Amino acid sequence: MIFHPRIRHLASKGPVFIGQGPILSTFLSLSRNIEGFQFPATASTNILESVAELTLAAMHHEDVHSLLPSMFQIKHELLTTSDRDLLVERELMDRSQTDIAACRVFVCAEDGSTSVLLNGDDHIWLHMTSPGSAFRETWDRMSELESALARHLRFAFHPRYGYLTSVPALVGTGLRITFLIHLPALGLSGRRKHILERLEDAGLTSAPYFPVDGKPAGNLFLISNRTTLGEREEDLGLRMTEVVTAISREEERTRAELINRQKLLFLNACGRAYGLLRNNYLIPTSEALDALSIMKLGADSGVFRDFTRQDWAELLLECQPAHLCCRMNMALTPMERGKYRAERFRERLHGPEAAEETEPES
Amino acid sequence: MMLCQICKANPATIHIQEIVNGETNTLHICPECAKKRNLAEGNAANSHFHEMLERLTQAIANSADLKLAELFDQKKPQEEEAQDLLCEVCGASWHAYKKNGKVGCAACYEQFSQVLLEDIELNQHGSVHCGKTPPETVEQWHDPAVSERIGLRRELERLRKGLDESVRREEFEQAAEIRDKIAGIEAELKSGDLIPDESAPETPKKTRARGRRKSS
Repeated sequence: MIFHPRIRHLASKGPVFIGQGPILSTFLSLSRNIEGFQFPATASTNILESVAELTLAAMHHEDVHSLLPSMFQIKHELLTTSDRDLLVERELMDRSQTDIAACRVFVCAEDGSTSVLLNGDDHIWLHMTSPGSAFRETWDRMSELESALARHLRFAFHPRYGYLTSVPALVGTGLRITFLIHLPALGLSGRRKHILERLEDAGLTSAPYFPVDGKPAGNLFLISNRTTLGEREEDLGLRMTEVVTAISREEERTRAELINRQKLLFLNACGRAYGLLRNNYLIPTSEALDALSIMKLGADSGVFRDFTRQDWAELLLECQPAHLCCRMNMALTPMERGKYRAERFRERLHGPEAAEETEPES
Repeated sequence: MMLCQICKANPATIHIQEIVNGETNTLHICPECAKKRNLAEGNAANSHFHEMLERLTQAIANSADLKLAELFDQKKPQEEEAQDLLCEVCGASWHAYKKNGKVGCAACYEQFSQVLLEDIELNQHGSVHCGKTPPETVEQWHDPAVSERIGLRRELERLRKGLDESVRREEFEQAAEIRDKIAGIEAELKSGDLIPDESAPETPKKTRARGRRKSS
């Protein structure tokens, strides 16, 4: 068994990236440390154990627990590599904090909307995801949870620097806001690079969500804040929402232009992507992601009648390595993943009987 | 005065001895003829080469000295700086922060404030926090079981240091006493594990033992 039963259960939950239009998801993470204890990177096991117990005790207090009624906890060292990869794919764990380290504890809500990592880079790392552009709602939820925890734990706070974190780049609010955005039309028009580069001026930063050989597979990008000091959480969130909405509008405008001017080319691209996903027997992740990106463009523009955003979001998760392993319940080689990924696409786009004919008729 | 064997006009100043099949032939020539026949050039080039080699070795030796000196010159102030900037609370160094981008504890912000402030101001939106602040009253240490365990762990750290000290002083009776105390506290901590694993594939005991070994 390569998956922890709890994590396997999470994988069966619905997708998280089902935003309307180009903005697919909002992720918020908040870093906090407990006063009087060394930060995890330099602390002894004894300190880390104390931190974990203190925080979990606080989380089991009635007022905190009522905000996370269905949470469960697992020691990090009991999670397999596949478990951790799956959590990263579901946006419940940060790629940089997946290593096994002393006294790391992973806490998660059963619906997969909230996760907490104890003794990662900082003592407490709260993480929440919401579909679409939803800073306000997600921040309200997160702030409520943080305030509840702050009633029982004294967080390391400096009157000038704000909340103290192990990485000084997060000092202040300790808040990282990230939007997942899908920008295929801007990519085709060649303006995407310029637009994303200009984010730097606003103190924001962008990165490809699936970097494959330096290229952004699937036209998916993460836009996050670079700064955490000197701006209120709400102000930052609203400012970012404005920026991201403007980019999203530009993307939609470019899409409309593309469809109006070059409808045949657009339909051709959609049809080819559909054909590729529906009729292949071996497909690598990057190729699948690129085809899925065009499928999403088609679905958003009403080209595919019976292929919804929900279907798309499910396939986006299911075609990723750890989700495939979880589905097949075994470790897979890249070749096998390509095969089962193709099988899943055929099944989804043709109907269940299509997946069974694993060999093309010669 | 011997004349050049080739032009028979100029005095011969170059004497070349050649040994072919055991027979010795001597050629006495003037520099001009030697030049024409490319005979003396080899020698001249050779001498140049030797000269060059010598100069080069000297230069390398000099530059190596220079580089080493430079290194020492640079290293000295850096080392001093790093020694100056050790966090008094957690012992983390400024050097380590520069290396991995992480500070060791909350107190590092005060300890390194002179240099850290520059780093922060350079990369941040502002230099003063605005936003959420912690509540004034915190019901910390509310859970007696948790605070007791934290106390026990602090005691454990203290005892472990004592054990090392006794072993170093070869006070083995005292060391044995401390060891028993440590074992008692460890057993107590183990028995009341506050982080249960739900449907855990491994027993928590095992992992705990692993953690202990690391820290000791």
